Amino acid sequence: MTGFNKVGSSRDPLWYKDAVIYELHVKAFYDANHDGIGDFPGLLEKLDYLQDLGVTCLWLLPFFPSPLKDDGYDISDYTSVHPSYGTLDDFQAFLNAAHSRDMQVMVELVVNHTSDQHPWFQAARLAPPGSPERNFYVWSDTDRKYRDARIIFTDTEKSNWTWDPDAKAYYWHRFFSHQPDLNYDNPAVLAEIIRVMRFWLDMGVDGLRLDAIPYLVERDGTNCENLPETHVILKQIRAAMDSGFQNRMILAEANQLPSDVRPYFGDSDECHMAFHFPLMPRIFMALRSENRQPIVEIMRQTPEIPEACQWGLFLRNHDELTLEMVNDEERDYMYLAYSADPRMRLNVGIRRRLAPLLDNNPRRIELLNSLLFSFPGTPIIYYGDEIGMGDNIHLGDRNGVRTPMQWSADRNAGFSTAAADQLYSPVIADPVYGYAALNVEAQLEHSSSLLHWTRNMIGLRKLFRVFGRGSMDFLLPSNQKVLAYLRRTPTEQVLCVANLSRFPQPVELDLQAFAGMQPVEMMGYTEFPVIGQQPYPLTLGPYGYFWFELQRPS
Amino acid sequence: MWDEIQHALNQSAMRVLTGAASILPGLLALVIVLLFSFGAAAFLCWLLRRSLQGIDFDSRMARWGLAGMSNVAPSYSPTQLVMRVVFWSIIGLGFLLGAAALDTPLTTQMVRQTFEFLPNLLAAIALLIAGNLLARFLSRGALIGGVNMNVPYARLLSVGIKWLVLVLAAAMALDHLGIGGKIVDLAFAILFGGIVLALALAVGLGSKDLVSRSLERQTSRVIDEHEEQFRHV
Amino acid sequence: MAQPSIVSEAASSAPLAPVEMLVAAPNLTPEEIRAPAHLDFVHSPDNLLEEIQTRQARGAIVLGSPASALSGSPSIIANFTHPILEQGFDLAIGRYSEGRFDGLINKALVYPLTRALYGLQIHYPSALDFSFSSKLADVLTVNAPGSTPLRGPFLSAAVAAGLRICEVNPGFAREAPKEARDLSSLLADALGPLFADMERNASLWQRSRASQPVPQFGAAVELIEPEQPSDVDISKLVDAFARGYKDLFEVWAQVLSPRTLLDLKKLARLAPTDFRFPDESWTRLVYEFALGHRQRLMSREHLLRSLTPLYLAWVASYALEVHEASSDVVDRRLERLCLTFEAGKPYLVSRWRWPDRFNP
Repeated sequence: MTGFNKVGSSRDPLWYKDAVIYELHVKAFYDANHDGIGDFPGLLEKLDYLQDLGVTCLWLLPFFPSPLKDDGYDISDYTSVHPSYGTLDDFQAFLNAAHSRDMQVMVELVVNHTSDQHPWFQAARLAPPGSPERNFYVWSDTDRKYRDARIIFTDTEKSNWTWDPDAKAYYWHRFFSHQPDLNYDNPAVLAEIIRVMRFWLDMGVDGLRLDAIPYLVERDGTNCENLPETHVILKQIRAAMDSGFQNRMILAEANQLPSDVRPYFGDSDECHMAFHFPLMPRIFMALRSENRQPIVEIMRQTPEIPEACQWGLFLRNHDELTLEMVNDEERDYMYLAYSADPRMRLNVGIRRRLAPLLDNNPRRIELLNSLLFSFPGTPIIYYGDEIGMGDNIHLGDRNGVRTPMQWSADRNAGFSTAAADQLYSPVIADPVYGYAALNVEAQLEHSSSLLHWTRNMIGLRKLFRVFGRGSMDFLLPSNQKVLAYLRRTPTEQVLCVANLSRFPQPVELDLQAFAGMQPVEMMGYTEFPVIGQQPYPLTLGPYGYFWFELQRPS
Repeated sequence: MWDEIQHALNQSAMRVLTGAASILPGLLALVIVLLFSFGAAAFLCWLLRRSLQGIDFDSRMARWGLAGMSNVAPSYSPTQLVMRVVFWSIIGLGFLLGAAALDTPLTTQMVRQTFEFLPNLLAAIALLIAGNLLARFLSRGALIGGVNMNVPYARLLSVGIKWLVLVLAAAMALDHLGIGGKIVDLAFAILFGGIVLALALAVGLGSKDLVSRSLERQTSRVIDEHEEQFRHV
Repeated sequence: MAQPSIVSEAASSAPLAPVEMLVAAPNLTPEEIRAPAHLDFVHSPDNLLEEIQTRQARGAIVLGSPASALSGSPSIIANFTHPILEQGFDLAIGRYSEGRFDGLINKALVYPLTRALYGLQIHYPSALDFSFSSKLADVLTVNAPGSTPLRGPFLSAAVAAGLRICEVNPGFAREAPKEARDLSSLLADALGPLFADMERNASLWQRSRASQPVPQFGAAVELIEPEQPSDVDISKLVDAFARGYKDLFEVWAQVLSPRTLLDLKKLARLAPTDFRFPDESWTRLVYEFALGHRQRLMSREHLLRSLTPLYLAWVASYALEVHEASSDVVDRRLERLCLTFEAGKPYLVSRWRWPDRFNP
């Protein structure tokens, strides 16, 4: 049943601007039925934890029926739940429980491709050429078309075309060969996708992450990315959403330079949000090189977006730390700095979690999270990073960063009571990141833990709308190791200062425009000296950071 | 006849029971020894963990090039591996001592043979470890030396030396263990000779001209060839 | 003032009279030490410190250069005795005239590093010819017993004790000893003691900031031009670096920071005609080798020898820059390198004091 203007769980149409998003995989979170795989009933049991953490939106990685050759991104049924994770009723129960805790839920809409096991593809390969079923996908008699399109999974794929012996033709796939691309030149495809979208929005889902949308449309003589026809499709998807549902959100996954991502917002008639991919590696680069320049530069290149739109910011996610949007020299530096072991590299990126990337240094972790929470956009936390989980580079593909959540020091990290060999993935058990020492239970008891810190920072962030909705201006002190910026709305002004160096740093900030105002450090509510006409001196400890409210002196 | 059968059965039963009763004290001793071994092993492991962590054993091992152990046992640090080896060694030792307490000819012989074998086993393990360390050290030295001498096949030399030393260490270890006997000796000799021959062929035939030029340079110029224009000291 | 006197070794049964100064010259015989300077000759410099005490000498002169260089000038002895006996200095180190492509290890490494570390512009810290006072001999006897001239930490000991140091132009051009040793051995011999010294004297060299010139004695030094200037061919040097880059990158990656490795990657892509090794990269690289030596990131011998291709890359870059330059330009070029070493010293100090893998 299509809901006519069915309102989402949030009353605020711009709820995503103030959200703190938590990305998780159902299979990795908590196993309630003891089969070694996380499920929706398990996730429901852990909602209290998530609510206590303070996150306001849960982004679920694909949980649809799938052969699981790409961890669920190869979908064989768009409107059901993989039996390992539960049923549709389980999902509905979870959704309702999340809403009752004032949490929104975002699911994946993998619009670019399906699994080759999807009934659409099974029908297409046997259907005669030119038939409606056949035209659901992109076929060719040769593999010469669209030659300018790059290969994305460079480690495993040699071509974007694969021969299908049943269809006696090549089919197009920008990702794995078992993920044929849908053909958006066929209106029936879009109609089906919209039907799928409505299915989930009807259930009450608040947001949809559109996976891999730059690649929807192909044209010869182009690189088959970001084509104008793609935006036509997106506008239709958005219109379909707006016509039936209120206070929902579409998040674009477009791994492009900021100027190329801008069109995905349209005139507020395409996606509500988009990931700011290029910022993420530059944060790591700035930290390692102890120089703010990469961050400042990419933010300078970031265009203005419509008022109702928002950037999605993240430090790490379920994929490799992508280095597609940096130049060759920057990529070389990142490899040298963060992946000395070649096994850590995958495709054009580094497949490690946040804590191992930062050598498990708590100050570095806190510093980067402070940037994540104070930069203009909506922060997205990857599950496990709130306790500093580690990874296992010996697991194939990106599975090393998708290991079971570590709840306690009990068997299987408290994730499941199944036998260890039944787990979908081994738990992390090394001496530094192993579950015996690093788990939620231990960190809940320890008030100086990263978990407590993250909870407190989320809470602090939620007190100030300026972080999600304010403008950003950089101060450029002469000390390049210090990153200083102002976040402002008409009613709130916040000064953030961060030391990217592992040694203490002095800095003098030009705050003349705020002469007469008093910086009040946010965490301790400590008053600092009133700003005068002279440069404002500050000293920051190793990886130190300040968040100041600028107030009139009391 | 039934009485005879009964009598025979009774006698057999008595023999079994007598036999069982005679080894009961030994079994009890075995159980007690095993329990003590568990306790001793746990205590020793705790002590070991504290001391190894105190001397930063893991990072020292990584520095000495044994980070490669992560290939064999990725989930375990060197400290954990040492602890596990010690733990199970003590349990094994306890089992042997307990088996000796059973005092049957079979167990006595087994225990004696095990203890006779132990020194060879330890020597073999020490040989393998030493061989591994030496192979890494020598191969790196050969690589650096070869590069500095402008030898084009420096990397090949380095790998060859590493495998030569590893094969030698493995052969010596197996010899200590008395495994394989002459067949293993022969196999290793062939392997060893093969590596040497392959290196010689690659160096000699494959880069004949380069070798001759390289040798010419070594014999005619004892100071670096760049000295014609550049004097380093 | 008593004149130094020659004492024949054959008359050693009689107790030796106190003398002004001793001279150790392993490459010369007493007959080759010319008049008018009379001195007590000690053939082996190994027992020199002991002899100074025994003979109550005011100091000693060590002449380690080859005989061919030493026999040229009659005033060598006077040049070395004057600062010690008459000017009250405790260490007078030889400073030589030489060509632009002479003493390259000293130019590239020893001089700039020692200058940055100890804050003194001593152009030949490892000079083979120098003189020193009995005061310095006493310091060494106490702090570095068993040390011998030509192999002892004379300079650092003098700096540590706050003694007065100067440079002397001995009056002859510097000649390298004719030893049949390969370059990597020479590098290891030059840097090994220097790096070891850094460990011993960490609290000393971390205190000094900018360097100061030291008093000069003797004639001004000058750049010696070759009789017939020739083109430099750096192709072999660049090839040696390329080979090292290909095969030793993994070894270097254990010691060098990501930033330095990236600089080497860029360097490896340069054509010989554009081959420039930035001073900042070279400085950082040398400091990182010193840190790697201290932290024993690998066998120290391997570490020092693996520097060879990198050093040759520096030589290639330097040669390309200066082969047709005037002497002023050459001097300024080397001065720029030294200033870069000094400017980079905070980096060395910070990483020395706080070893951390997570550095730029």
